[in-house]
Amino acid sequence: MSDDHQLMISVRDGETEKLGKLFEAHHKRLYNFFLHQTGSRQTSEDLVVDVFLRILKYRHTYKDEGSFSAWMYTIARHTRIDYYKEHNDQSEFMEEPDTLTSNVPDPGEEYENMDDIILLRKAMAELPEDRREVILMSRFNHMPYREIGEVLGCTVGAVKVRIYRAMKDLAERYFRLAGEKSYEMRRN
Amino acid sequence: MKCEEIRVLIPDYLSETLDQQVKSRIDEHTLSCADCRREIDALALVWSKMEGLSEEEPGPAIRTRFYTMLEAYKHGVENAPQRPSMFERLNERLRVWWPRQPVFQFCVTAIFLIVGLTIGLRVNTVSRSTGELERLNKEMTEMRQLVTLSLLNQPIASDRLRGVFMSRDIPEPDDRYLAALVTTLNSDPNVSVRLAAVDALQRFSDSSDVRTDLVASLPRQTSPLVQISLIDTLVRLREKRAVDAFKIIAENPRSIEPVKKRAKMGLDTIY
Ligand SMILES: [Zn+2]
Repeated sequence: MSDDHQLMISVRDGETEKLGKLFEAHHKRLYNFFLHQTGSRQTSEDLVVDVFLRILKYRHTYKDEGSFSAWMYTIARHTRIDYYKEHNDQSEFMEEPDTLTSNVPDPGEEYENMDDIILLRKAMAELPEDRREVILMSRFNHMPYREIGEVLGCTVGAVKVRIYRAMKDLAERYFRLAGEKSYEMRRN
Repeated sequence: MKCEEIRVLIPDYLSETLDQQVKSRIDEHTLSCADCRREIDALALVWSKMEGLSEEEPGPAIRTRFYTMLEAYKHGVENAPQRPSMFERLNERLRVWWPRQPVFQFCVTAIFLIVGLTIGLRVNTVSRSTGELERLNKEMTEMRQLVTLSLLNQPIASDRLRGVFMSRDIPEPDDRYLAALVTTLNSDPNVSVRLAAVDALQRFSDSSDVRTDLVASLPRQTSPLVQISLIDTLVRLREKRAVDAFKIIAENPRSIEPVKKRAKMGLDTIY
């Protein structure tokens, strides 16, 4: 993590070729972050390149005491918001979620598990944007609460509450899709 | 612990990042509280399923695009004309009435240092927003254009197609970019890419150069699909200079029937 920070400091101070290392370390995760949100491979690639372009343009604003991934995801968030503003097609899932499942399972035994994953992707796709992104940051990108708080502009306490609500929302949607009444949850 | 306090801790509970002490208190609570127990079970199930959502690799073009962008940026920064900084400009003005005597020089320097620091701090925080941002935005568009250009030169047709589609994000392309689109229209081996180029260029048909290129491209096209698309475009633009090309196509025995028909209809409309 502090490696990233050092690299970004160098990029900021003029060694722009070091951005290549940051790209190699983060582009895949960032791509999947966008892919889960937009459902489109093309859009996600476009957005990733745009994020790194913005990193270059705004490199002077990177702070000595900053955290690279919090900063990068803040930029990523704005990039996505701007993208939807320009294309005004709010969170439209352009490809069917199931076509996005890349890990094709062995037929038979894993088939049931595969079904679950398709359902989970559908449930994720249904989630409101802000809930999806908090799950992606915490569960997929394993960002510490402090960093998520930096990206979203809220306290660690508020981050915890948001993650819980988002998880609960996701679970409700998942079980509704799965048609499992037994897990019906109490609404607060 | 109250139920609400427990609930918020569930994600930490599931990711096993809680103190042993807190964890046991939650376990204790769930022994007597069915609601919390059910909720933990439900979230745990979804939590574990999320492991199955694997990450996928982005396509190879993303790397090319990134490194092209990086190169372009470095190139752009190195070759950008050095804009005189505010200090340099101020210095320029000052030189005219700079006092000759060293004592006066010292006083003036001291005054300017103080005034300068105060102004400098304000300028840095305020004026960065408008002019600077506009410049940044313009540079972003230029960069995007460069990235798109690199896509047009990719060996895989789907990448080139994307390069053509991305012209939508470039409201005012420069000549180099338009020339690349025209080259694509005239010589891309893939029909879909050429068709997309017709659409893309049509959007920039306010430029008479683009219209000239569209007219000149028609006789070079061999695919009936591209021919028809170009004819339709030129008719829509009421481009009189296309008349000769339409005639040649209409009279060419090698043109297929639907294309001939289109060209004849075009002639009727434009005349
Ligand atoms: Zn309880």
